[in-house]
Amino acid sequence: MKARLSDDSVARALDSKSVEVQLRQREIDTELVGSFGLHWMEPLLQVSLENKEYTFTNVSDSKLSEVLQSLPPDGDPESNSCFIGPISGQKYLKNQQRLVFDRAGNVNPLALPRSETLESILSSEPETLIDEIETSGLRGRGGAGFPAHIKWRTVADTTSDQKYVVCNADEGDSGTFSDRMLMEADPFKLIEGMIIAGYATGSSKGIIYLRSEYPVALEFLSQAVEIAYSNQLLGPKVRDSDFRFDIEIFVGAGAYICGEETSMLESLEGKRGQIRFKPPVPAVAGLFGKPTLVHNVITLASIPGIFEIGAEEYAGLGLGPSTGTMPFQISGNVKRGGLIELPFGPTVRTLIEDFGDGTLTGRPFRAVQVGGPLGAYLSENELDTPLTYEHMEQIGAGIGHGGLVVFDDTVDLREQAEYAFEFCEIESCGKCTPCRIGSVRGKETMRQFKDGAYIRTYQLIEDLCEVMEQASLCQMGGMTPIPVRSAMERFPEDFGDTAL
Amino acid sequence: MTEESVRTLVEPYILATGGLIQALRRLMNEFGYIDPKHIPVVAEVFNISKAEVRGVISFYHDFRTHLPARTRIRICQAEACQALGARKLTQKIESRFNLRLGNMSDDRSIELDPVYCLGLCSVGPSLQVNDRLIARGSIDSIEGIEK
Ligand SMILES: Cc1cc2nc3c(=O)[nH]c(=O)nc-3n(C[C@H](O)[C@H](O)[C@H](O)COP(=O)(O)O)c2cc1C
Ligand code: SF4
Ligand code: FES
Repeated sequence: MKARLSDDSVARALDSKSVEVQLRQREIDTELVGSFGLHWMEPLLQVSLENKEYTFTNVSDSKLSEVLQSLPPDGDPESNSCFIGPISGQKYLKNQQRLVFDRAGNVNPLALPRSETLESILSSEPETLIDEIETSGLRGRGGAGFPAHIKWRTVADTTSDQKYVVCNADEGDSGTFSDRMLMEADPFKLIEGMIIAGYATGSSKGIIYLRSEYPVALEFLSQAVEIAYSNQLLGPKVRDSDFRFDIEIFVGAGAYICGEETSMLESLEGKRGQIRFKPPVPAVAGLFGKPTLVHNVITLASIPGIFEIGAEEYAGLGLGPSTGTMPFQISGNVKRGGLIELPFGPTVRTLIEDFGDGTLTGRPFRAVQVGGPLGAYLSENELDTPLTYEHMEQIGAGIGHGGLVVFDDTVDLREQAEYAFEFCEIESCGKCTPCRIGSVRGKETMRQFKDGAYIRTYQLIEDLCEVMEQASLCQMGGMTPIPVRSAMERFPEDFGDTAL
Repeated sequence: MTEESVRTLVEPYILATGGLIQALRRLMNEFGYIDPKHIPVVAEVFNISKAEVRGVISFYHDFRTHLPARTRIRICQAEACQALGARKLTQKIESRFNLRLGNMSDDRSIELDPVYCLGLCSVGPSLQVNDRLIARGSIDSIEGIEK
């Protein structure tokens, strides 16, 4: 008998470690594996016994005895309330198309994968790799959706004694956890992606900027980097080639704004994470003034898959100029929260109804916030919008980092709009006035809706949003009006509808 | 803690990536907070002004200049947890300890702090008690923690 138990932040937060202790006490051969991202099932236990697989969900130390007793030859697993059929047969998983998360859940995150693609990549011309990235249509998954190849080419074409690849693992958006999941379930995918990006752009040093709220990711990532060094996946001769590549992990110190790339570079220089003026863009003068390729974890982890299936085929996935796959994340008030990797283009409804299976509380759906704290609140009327950069832009929304946060009918959108300002106040870097002062004024003004001064308050908020949108130095202040306005436009009844 | 030993702790980071931040983190790990007395030493080691060191300390939420409590409860305040009742849960925890979020009890036994996403959004509301992550948090999750 062999047991495979999920082990990541979510599993541990649901007490998987006490299940592990029990398994080990019973001297059951146990392997820890990553999470598939079917979070409502965690902790997940797979047992193989005489060439058969049995999967059990929501296992706890108190349920473990019964789970083990239900196994053949003496028991009947199907009679156990934790039993489900094989995990691969689960609709939630079967209906996905996983390129970034193909290994996640299936493997021990710290088992070094053998990648032949990487070897052939390291013997090809860097320029051709950039062409491939251009063909693939890959765009940044961190939020802005900027075409990757433009940054790659800029870094490659800028001469310098040192260039950097900085991986943005600051994942501060509420409702997003794909970066965390990848680093905990398949850290080598990220490492491979960084090596390829480094090789193509002529950068020998990679830095992963990891938020401090992710201690479990740090644990997996540090071990993976160490293993990579001892197996010549990192170091002076990557996979026996002449290419040198090093990776260092840097842990942030708690600042949402450090997810913005120039603020992150300041932070990596040991300073306050204040936004830099652009130009110069980081690809020309980034970390310590050197050319720097900054990419989100998922952008980098998408790269190995592009070379595995081929750039043309990758470009054929998705809808229009939104090519490839996107790991969407559904959370909040939803029955089946988790990670759903699909080619761009599923509708919001598909994700929250077909995958999410409705609200956790069982109450009617009311709103979904797409794309993190700077993303729009959508109502029932917009659920049939396909999730592509283009379609979302048409309705004044964005995909951001792919998070969808579901709310039932108890949500008060005025409260949410006030929170949007408050979050901006807490996390503003303070460099420019529209954001630093506007966020505070916005929060205070939002409270006035409660006192009944509807029309005047509405106008004040609208003016403030315009100033913040037009005059902020970065998108923190510039996009805070998005959740605010979307809430007011789509849910006027929460603001006192005499305003409209 | 002598000035010399503080110097020994932070010196290895002079040339490191984001060295000042790493050095301050080292002090946090060592003492649980950054003792204002140590700021002049750090400034001298990094050859910058005390104001610059203070500026970095005040910018990042992780850096704190007061002694920590025995038990620190962080309650996620971000949207996905709000959608599952984080506001109500916060109120319950506040009244259980008779302490407002962002504050510490007088005897330094409990501290309640906000946190903005722990990456457990799909199984919220999320809590963290010292190093322990808790998903599907409720008032029962903190049973047994006494002031
Ligand atoms: C306020 C703010 C916060 C951001 N936070 C993140 C983040 O947590 N992770 C991320 O990858 N990008 C974040 N970004 C976007 C980055 O600035 C940058 O566009 C991205 O790292 C580039 O990588 P990509 O091209 O792979 O998306 C943020 C931007 C802003 C304005
Ligand atoms: S908009 Fe806000 S976060 Fe961005 S530079 Fe201005 S003050 Fe800083
Ligand atoms: S929003 Fe609370 S854990 Fe992400």
